[in-house]
Amino acid sequence: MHKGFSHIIVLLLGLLVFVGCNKDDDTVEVQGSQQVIADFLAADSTLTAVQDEATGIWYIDLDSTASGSPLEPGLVVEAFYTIRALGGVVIDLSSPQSGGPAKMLYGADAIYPIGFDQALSLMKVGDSMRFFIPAELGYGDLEVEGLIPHGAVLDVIIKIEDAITLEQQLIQEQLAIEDYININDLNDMATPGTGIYIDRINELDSGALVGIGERVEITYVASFLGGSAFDATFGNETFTFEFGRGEAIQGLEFGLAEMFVGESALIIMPSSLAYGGSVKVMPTLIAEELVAQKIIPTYAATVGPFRPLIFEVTLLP
Amino acid sequence: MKQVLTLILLWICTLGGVSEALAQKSKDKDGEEDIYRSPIRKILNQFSINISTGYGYSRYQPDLNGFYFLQTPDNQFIFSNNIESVPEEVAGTFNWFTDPMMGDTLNLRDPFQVPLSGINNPVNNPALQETTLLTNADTLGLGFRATGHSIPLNLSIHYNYKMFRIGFGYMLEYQRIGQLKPTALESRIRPYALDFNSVLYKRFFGKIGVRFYEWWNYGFAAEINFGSINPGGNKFNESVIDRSIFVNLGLSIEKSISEYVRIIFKPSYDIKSYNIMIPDAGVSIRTLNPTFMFQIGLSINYPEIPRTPIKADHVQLKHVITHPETGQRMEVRGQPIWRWQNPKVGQNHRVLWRYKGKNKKKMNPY
Repeated sequence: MHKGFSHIIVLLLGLLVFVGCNKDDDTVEVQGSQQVIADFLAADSTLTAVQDEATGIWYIDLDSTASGSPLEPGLVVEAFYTIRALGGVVIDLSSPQSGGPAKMLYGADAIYPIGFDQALSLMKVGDSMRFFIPAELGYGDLEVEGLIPHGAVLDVIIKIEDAITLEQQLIQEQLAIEDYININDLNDMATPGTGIYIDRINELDSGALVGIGERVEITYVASFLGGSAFDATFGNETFTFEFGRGEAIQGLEFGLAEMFVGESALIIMPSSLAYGGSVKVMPTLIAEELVAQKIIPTYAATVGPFRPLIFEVTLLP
Repeated sequence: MKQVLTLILLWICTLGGVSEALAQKSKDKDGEEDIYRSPIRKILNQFSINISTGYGYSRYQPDLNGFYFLQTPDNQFIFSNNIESVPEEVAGTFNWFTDPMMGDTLNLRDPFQVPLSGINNPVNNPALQETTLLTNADTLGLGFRATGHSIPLNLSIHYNYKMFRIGFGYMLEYQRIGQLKPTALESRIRPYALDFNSVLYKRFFGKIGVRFYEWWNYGFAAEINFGSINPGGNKFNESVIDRSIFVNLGLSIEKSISEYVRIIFKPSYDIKSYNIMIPDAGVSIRTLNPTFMFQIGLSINYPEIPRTPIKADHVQLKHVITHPETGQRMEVRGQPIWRWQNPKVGQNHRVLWRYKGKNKKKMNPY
């Protein structure tokens, strides 16, 4: 009798445990990269690679410079590179023929794939090295037909040309902006001291200035220093935001602070007042997909690293 | 509800208990012995008072069908999807699970679209997961799910008529509620965090049941409780919540330890739901709220005969005495209510009870 009853209690307790259990999420991992790299190296006796234990990246020193200075996070690296899927096609490259060394912000989670950023940590300025990067530090599950296979191990060659500070980068950009101003005969541009260059197009003698916390409404056309527009308000579309709250890039807010309501102006700003190092995405054609997956912010798919910007703005009443 | 239950009980008392008691009395008068039996005790004996406690496992399943769901870095909003297109600016409702309130007008532009501000460490930045997200809940089948763990304290009374029972009761249920987790896009939609951890539900209910099977000292009764449930305090805005009557289906397993006392084991399942009206949207959120409960407790009946009033009377069984003061012949008990009234030899023996544990270990237990 008691035994039968205890069975009922055990059954009920079992039911409770069953109800209380939560289903664990399955996680999908790209596995086997290390084995793929090991097999590749074993098949070619001329390759003598060393594994970095911290990252799992294998590397071969192609041409190291003993006197090269090590990289510090926050430096702007200028490098040539070639990225291949191991045994596959070239995914992306930067060479003298393709426009010179690519610029990227090192050690600031501003490079994709992240394995590239980690590979740089094994190098000094002037070094040339070959890396075998596991898929989980490369493109992971991302697949682009004919270019990036699923779970691709990356075969990367990098040559660091130079590494400069953000201050040096700013000086370079200021020189480029001044060249642009001279070439395009924009000699009326003022430099109010905030780092921007501004030319008020339909200049008013007086008017209202916008204050912090006010909602401002503008129309704009944004373009790169080279001239190509990348964003604009179209038709009756306007852009509204709260001024002085960090909702818009600094350079734009600095420019609007110089304007009366109703004025239009041309504002040129260095990248330090816009999107700075943004994200160096290699190759750029996967940027939209990375945005969709919330791996990089939307602006990073439009504006690359260290791009001075030009805004033609109208501050609406 | 209360009045109806009271009327039903009175009616049954009249039909069942009183008539039975009076019939018994007249039978006794007409019989060989004129034994007095209290009609009040006879009626009260038909009532069982139950007290129980245990554990409850609840699910909260709000369904956002009919809404757009908008998540910002700071909050989560809903607004009706009965519109032609999503406007660029919208005022949504937040705190929609407990006390819906209208939020400020929000700009639905992508905050990461140029020329808005950039962020540091942009690759895989957690802030990217917390940015604005707008989705039609109908498309995703989006809802939220939370679990609650509760301790109930139940007090009820029911009237027994043959194998049937009817009564009413009151329950306090202290419940801790976890976060509401989304049923879709779990990696992007944050859980809905409540601004409280626990709530005290109060239930007033009627009950009906039938004792459908008996085995040895066990009885099995199917019971249905139904009534109102309300959370105490101001954690839910009850003015915008329409709660359905809850229905609790239970199996009461009752082990009799005497004629008047039973231990109850009762698993049961609540079927209940409620609708939260969303202001200005004209739509409500339906939330299913089932609960599985397991209770253990006592059920006690008032004895139909008293203990013997004679101090020197040590008779163990039920027996008839003449009351020393009134001179009435009456039947009395020789045992307290938690003991079997007519014990067999050795049953209820105090020494055996006292040494029951020890005896188990002996080769020759006495």
